Amino acid sequence: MRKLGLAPLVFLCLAASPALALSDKPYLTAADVDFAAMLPPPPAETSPAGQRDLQFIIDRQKNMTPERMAAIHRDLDQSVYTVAGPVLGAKFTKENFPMAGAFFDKVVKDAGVGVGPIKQKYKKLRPFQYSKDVHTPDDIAKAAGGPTYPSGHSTTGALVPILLGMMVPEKREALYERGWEYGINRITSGAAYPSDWEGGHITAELAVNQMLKNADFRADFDAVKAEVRKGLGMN
Amino acid sequence: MRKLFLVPALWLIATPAFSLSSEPYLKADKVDLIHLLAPPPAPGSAEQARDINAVLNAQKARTPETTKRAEEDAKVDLFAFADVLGTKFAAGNLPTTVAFFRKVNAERGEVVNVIKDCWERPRPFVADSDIHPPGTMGKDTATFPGTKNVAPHDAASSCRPLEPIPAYSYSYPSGHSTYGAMTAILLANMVPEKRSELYARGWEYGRNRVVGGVHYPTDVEAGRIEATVLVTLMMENPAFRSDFASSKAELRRALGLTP
Repeated sequence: MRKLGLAPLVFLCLAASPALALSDKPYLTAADVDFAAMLPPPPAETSPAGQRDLQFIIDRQKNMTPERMAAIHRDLDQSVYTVAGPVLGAKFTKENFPMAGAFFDKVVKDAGVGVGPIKQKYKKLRPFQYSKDVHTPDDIAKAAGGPTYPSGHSTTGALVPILLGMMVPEKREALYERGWEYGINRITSGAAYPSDWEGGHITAELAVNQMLKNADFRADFDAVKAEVRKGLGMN
Repeated sequence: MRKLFLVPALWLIATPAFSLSSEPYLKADKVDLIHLLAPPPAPGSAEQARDINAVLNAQKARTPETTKRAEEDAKVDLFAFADVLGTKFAAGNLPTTVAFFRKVNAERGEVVNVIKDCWERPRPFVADSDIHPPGTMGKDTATFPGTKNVAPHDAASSCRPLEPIPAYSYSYPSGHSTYGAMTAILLANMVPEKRSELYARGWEYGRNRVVGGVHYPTDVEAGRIEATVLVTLMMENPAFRSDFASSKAELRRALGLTP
């Protein structure tokens, strides 16, 4: 019994150990990039751009299907396995690629210095909070953290293809296409506007641009790249 | 002919107000937009079909007013932002500001063309014969004789294989959108009182390229992202920050705003 219990424990330790090797310092700090000075202010709801934003959601929701709603719920999760899984295949799991998950969790968390403070700067209402014509399932509405601009999910949906696309250029276009779908699902849920997606996308590009200058980041990036390529049978 | 060019150029250099840094704002080796920006949608993909549809819809929705606006924005004119900043925002009052934005824009052009030549995406009106740019908007994107492809096309670059130079310059990303967004970001950091309006005007630059059928929405989006990255990179350069500060001071003085 004891022996049987130990074997998976040892296995787990082994699997988990590379993840522990990631840098414990942030890849990006608030002092590195002046996100507030760079990001466009979100359009006011009543402006032409704001009205286009809202109409886009309403049009998408008119064509809602059960399959789309299932995809929207699946895409609530922001792990790299959920974002990139449809492109990299069923084997792209936490068990097989532990370091990738830990790395992207850290990237998303550290890029948060470009998301959280900007959300608080503008305090823009979520589409479903602003308009009765937007219908968002209760669980998604409850889980939507903080103001709408920029979209954290869209930031993740851009961070993953940018960085994984650098690691696996063979799948780069498909990863971006999937990142786009991930952002569109968030918009279609009524929890984000297209302009929130754009803000999230810009945040992601600025964050990666800065992170690439960080030696700790580059070392971790290289280790994760090796794990991903080896696991996918690429050299 | 040559003299006509030289005289104003010398005058520009000799005027003390034009004491901008002579070094480039962007260090070319620090810009890796080929790997930061999404590749454009591939021919035949669903994303490409969406893009074409969006351009066709914008064409259908054109009015004489929106067409005129799109044609005006085809010119890269800093003073388009007088819509927001008023009549005091005029060339005569702003020699340093004009020179500053001209330098920013020249460096933008070099960077953007590398990316365009890397991806080699044909313009909407080249890809789809139902798309017709108004006036000279299409013709204005024609390449010059002797134009060279400036992107790296070696195996490591992830660029598409080198093609012969086409009749019209490539589509992705949109240089006008980059220009409009960069100018908006910089002006908004000089005149934060008008921040929202300046961004809206700069973003309109991009939309007008789609109205004119010379760019796809994804070109415009990539152009805007590129703009924020380029401004961020420029801001890291002390020479840029110094010139930015001089222009800002001049601009705020001309507009009658507090320093």
